[in-house]
Amino acid sequence: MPSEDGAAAPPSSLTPKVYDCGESAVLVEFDVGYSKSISLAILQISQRLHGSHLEGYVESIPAASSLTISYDPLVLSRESLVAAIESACAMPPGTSAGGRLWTIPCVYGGASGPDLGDVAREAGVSEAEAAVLHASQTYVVSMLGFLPGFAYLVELPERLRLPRRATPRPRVPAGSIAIASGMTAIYPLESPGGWHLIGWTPVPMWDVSRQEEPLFAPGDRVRFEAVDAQQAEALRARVAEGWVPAPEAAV
Amino acid sequence: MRPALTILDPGFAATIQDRGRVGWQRFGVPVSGALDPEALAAANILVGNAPGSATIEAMGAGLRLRVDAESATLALAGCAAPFRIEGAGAVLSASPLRGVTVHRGDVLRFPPPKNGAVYYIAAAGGFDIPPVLGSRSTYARASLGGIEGRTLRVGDAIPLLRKAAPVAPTLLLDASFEAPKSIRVMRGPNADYFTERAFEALAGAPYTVSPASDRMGLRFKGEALDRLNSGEIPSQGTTAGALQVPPDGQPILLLADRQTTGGYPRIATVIGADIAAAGRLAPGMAVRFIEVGREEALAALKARAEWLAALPSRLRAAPQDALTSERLLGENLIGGVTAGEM
Repeated sequence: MPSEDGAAAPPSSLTPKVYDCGESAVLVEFDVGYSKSISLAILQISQRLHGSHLEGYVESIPAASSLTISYDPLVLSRESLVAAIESACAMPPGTSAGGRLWTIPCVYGGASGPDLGDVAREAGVSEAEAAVLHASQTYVVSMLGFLPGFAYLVELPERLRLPRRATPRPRVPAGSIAIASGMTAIYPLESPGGWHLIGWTPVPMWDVSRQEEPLFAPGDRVRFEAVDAQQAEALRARVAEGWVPAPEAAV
Repeated sequence: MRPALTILDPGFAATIQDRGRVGWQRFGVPVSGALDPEALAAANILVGNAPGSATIEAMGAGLRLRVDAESATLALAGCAAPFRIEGAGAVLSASPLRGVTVHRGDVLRFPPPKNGAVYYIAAAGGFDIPPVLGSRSTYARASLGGIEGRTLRVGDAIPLLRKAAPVAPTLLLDASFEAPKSIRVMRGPNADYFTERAFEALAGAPYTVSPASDRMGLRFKGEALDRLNSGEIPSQGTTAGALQVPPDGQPILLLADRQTTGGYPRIATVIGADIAAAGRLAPGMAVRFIEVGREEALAALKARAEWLAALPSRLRAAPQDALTSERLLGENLIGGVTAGEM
């Protein structure tokens, strides 16, 4: 079994099961359930395929325990693709799969996080304690999906884990920091949403007119730092001038 | 003023679409692009554009445009009926699948789609719209691409790259684009979440497209597809043509604006050769699902790719007398009883 220390799994433990999604895509599943190390190993395989310049490979979507790969079967045979996947699985794990460390300022509670009170009540703690709990963890980007630049950050402290809201909100503001089940996330743009809103950040997740890629890549690590409304307002002014936070280098 | 096509009425729904935003799904960006990429290619090659260039994708009735350029060559392809050109002194009827030169002030009135859901309007030289992440396609949910990232509105001026129609022969294309009566599927990646009875149901009576469908997916109504268990699967990457089944058992066919990941199990996948055809299905239409194997899917994809690659060789110069007779027809129309419909 893979270890839980965040290192990629030993190659021998990764035996992919490959399912067809039509003739032009495959779902590669690692039948071991979710773990942080499997998730990182999947990201590594995805990155290796991206970097392989394999003719006929189109793109891949990493998820928590699977990888979906689309390809042109008139150029790349299924057999060759599966061989490439297997050899990517067999390669020794690299030093990191992205792994930049981001510190995201967050205004907790109040109008910025209207559900923090409910979350704290469910957890049996004060709002301030709930915020400290959320900010105490270093999260890992397990995948992006739902919206452009929407990163699923695992693993939320146990005490904060709640099911989604019974009724989704029709409009969640961009920059909202939210939690649901074992995850936390930052809404990159305004959208409907069913997660609990506990805070807000002025940091843009992906301004496509300025940023070639979203702020977070799969495999990155993210920390939250509580700031007050004035500090957030000052940051918002800098964001308007084009500021984006710089990550700490890969570890 | 910049040369443009101006929206007088967007009709039911119209967006700018090209071949889509490929390569960004790992960052959560849907591919988007034309629901019917074959009709997209046909409209474009008729006006001398690259087959994947940006076009206006229109759904439903009511689209009306005005030509705000010296002239322009346009072509209509897809599930399209002849459209009307209300110009100075004449009302013309122009067929789909041929280049048509229009002039400043002409008002183009498009009828509802025929035999399907969508059609495409290409302009020679293309539209002057900046690409976002490599594509001009509109993804309205995240305000990406097209005109301000949204569906077209009254008053939008869609800028043209050419200020006048090119001097080139007018072309005709012999092809047809109709919604299918059946589409072929392969067994899906989560097939083991379903009962054998579900596969029998899927291959049995036709499923009807519900009005709740959109560019993200076609919602079907028909016999419920039973699952072996009701549990969610962990979120997985989605693919074009995936037939996913929510707990109510009514399948949803994922189209161009599908989210990149999802947690409903997928019983089947529409084969690549039939995805463009599936994109033509309109609410109320019934379709049968036919299960095929991978070899058949691959052979069909190869045949479809060859058909598409050969489309340019099927272009013919439009006969001049056809144009004349259309003009005469138009003049008759304006003087006759049908003028009252205008």
